[in-house]
Amino acid sequence: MGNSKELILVYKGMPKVSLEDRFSIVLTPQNYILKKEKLPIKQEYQSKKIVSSIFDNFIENKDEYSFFVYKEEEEWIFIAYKQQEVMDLLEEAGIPSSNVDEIFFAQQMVSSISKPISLGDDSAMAVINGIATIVPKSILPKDTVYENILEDTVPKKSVPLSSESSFVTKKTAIILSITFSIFAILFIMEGIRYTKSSQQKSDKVQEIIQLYPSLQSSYKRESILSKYSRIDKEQRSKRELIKKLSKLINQKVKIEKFYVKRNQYMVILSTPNQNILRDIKQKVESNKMKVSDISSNKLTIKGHL
Amino acid sequence: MMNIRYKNELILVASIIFVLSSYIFKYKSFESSQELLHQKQKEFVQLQEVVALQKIWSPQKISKKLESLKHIVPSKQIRWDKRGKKLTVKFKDIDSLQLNRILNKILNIAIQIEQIDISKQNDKYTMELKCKW
Repeated sequence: MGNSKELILVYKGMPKVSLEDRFSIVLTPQNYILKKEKLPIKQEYQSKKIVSSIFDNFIENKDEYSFFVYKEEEEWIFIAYKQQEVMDLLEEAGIPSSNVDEIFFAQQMVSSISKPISLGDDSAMAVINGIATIVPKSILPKDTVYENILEDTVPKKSVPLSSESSFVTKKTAIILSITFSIFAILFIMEGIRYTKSSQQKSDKVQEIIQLYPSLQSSYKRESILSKYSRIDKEQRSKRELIKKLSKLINQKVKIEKFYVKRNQYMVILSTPNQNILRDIKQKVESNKMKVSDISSNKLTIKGHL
Repeated sequence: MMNIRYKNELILVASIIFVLSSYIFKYKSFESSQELLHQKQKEFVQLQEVVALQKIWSPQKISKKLESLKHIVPSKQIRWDKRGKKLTVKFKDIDSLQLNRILNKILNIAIQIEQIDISKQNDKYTMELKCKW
């Protein structure tokens, strides 16, 4: 926190303020409840854990209160205040909450308050037994000299003014923002990975094209593919046919005639045994070939590839 | 730091915009990469297929392999007519064993068989083969 902030003491019935610059406010005991305790705790986070229970018998509807804790020498100062009350007070004083940076409490400045501070016509704030207290001016001597709050003594700790128009707390906003940002980074990384993976495939294609530059044109590739696919299909069919026929031939079954031309074929097989001929016919038909003629010792197969 | 009204909401909105933009980026990258990947995969498979088919049906040193057919039967039984990348060969008076060996050989050479004509006469075979490569 800087030390040269403009501080405004806010209190009930204060005159209207017209300031355009940013500033911080100091709350008087009118707007907070204070408890000073000597407790065997050392760390601030421990004190924050018990702050709510400290005010058990002093405040109702704890949910409406915000709390502030700090250590003053050997004692812990616990402060409870209502954000809504502060907002109302600022509105009454014509102070836009958006111009307020931080909230301080008068108790934080007790060491620098040597004389009472006037809070309007009837009240003043004085330090009694080390505690900033509201006192009626009527009990103070008539010649009391009031002082202003000292801007040079800005305390180290403050609380932010949470705007009443804010629907999300700062903590929630930060947690959600970090979560969203992590997801965003993951999405970006995944997006980059997708782009790279398609690039790798492109590189592989490029490698093959570099080896076979004649295949660069897709039209040429398709033409070559079409030509060779047809050749491949035809030649495989012819070889398959020859393999099938060779399985039918043995010592008792002879090949009389065989031709294969373009996509047509014809085979004449002979055997002296009628039973074998019938067996061959069955085998031929089971191989999806068509027996076109069968005589006493010959069998003719004709077909298209 | 400036104390802007709705600062928390602004931070939240900015982070939501950030996450949404990055999700859109991821989604668009995924879509375009899938499209490109599909296209490149198709191109890759096509290239591989073309290269493989070319290697099978336009092989090198095929003439040398075909020459081995001459060693199966005596030369007087063969009529060999090779013109460029075309061959017409006729085997006369061959027995079934020789026929079988010739057929096996032909099946294992990556030639384009145009015609095979086998005829039997008195236990001997005549075979004519027309092929190219």
